[in-house]
Amino acid sequence: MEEDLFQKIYRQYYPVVFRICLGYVKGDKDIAKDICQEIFIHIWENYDNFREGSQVGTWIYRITVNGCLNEIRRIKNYENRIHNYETPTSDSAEKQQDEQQVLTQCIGNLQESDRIIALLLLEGLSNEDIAQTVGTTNANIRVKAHRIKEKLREIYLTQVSNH
Amino acid sequence: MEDFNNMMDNWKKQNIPEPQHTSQEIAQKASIKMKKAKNLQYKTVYVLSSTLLVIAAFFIFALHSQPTNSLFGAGIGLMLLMLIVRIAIEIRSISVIKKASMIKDVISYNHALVDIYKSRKRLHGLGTYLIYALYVVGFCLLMPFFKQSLSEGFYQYITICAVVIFPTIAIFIFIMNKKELKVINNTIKEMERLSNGLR
Repeated sequence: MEEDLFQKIYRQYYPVVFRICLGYVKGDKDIAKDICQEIFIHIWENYDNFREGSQVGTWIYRITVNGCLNEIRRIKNYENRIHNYETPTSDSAEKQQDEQQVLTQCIGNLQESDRIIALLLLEGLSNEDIAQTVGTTNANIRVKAHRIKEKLREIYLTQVSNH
Repeated sequence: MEDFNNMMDNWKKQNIPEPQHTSQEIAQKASIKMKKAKNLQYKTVYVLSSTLLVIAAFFIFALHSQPTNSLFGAGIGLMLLMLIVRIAIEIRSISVIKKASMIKDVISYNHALVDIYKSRKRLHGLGTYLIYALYVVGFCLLMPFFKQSLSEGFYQYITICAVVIFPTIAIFIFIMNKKELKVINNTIKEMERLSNGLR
């Protein structure tokens, strides 16, 4: 891969990849950083297999989701840390930051398969893009997306009222 | 769905920490990692191939220097055959792993990984024990040759080493296999659950 192109991808997609990693590891920023770095290494490694016909975005989302699943299973220590991770609470935290932490917790409470779709929905991907990333049909994603949004909203409202 | 749109806005407004490395550093790390991974993948193949060469060299040397019989040929043949089978399995594993490309969609990638784990499960189940047992049988068939061609002391030394080393390796293989099978079974279950959830 040409370094200029990689630099462009890195700059453009780092926030997206980081947020997906963060949602996947229930908000543990240290693990998210490590996994994010590994994912960009995979992106570099796999660039030769990138087909011009497909969109860069879909290709990166696939590597990101597969990479998150892979890294967490590969490094068993991560599983324990994610399981025991508690979002830091701070009285002085701004309301928005607080809500973001609650949202990360809510995503963490979803089943693994729902979590993947929820994170892609939060990134604003269309049903078609999610279907291509996951490898299922648009119709299936449409049904799941509706259910997951409802579920996430319910969990979120419960958490906010308890907070 | 207004709530979800608010959540989406909130999600995207998160503070993103500065990356730990520049893109050049990542590219450099990737190149090093690729080289290392390739060496690691072929490490077992190199070790097994070296053993194969040593045994083949011994066979050729013995043929020319000592009178041999069919038992000797069967023993050496069995050991060489088992090493060749093991090398072939390793090479096949490498090619199966290469097929599990991360650019596949999540369900296909998961499916490819489950295939890898299932093939490892088969290998760790009966395959390893069978290959190892036949390798040991091959070695045992060589014992009469060793007795006939080596000094009494060296023959005793080889016998004691074999009696200690072969069972120790067998126990080690058993313990490692048991551990790995547990991990493999759990991973397969998790992955199948994930694929079913996404379908």
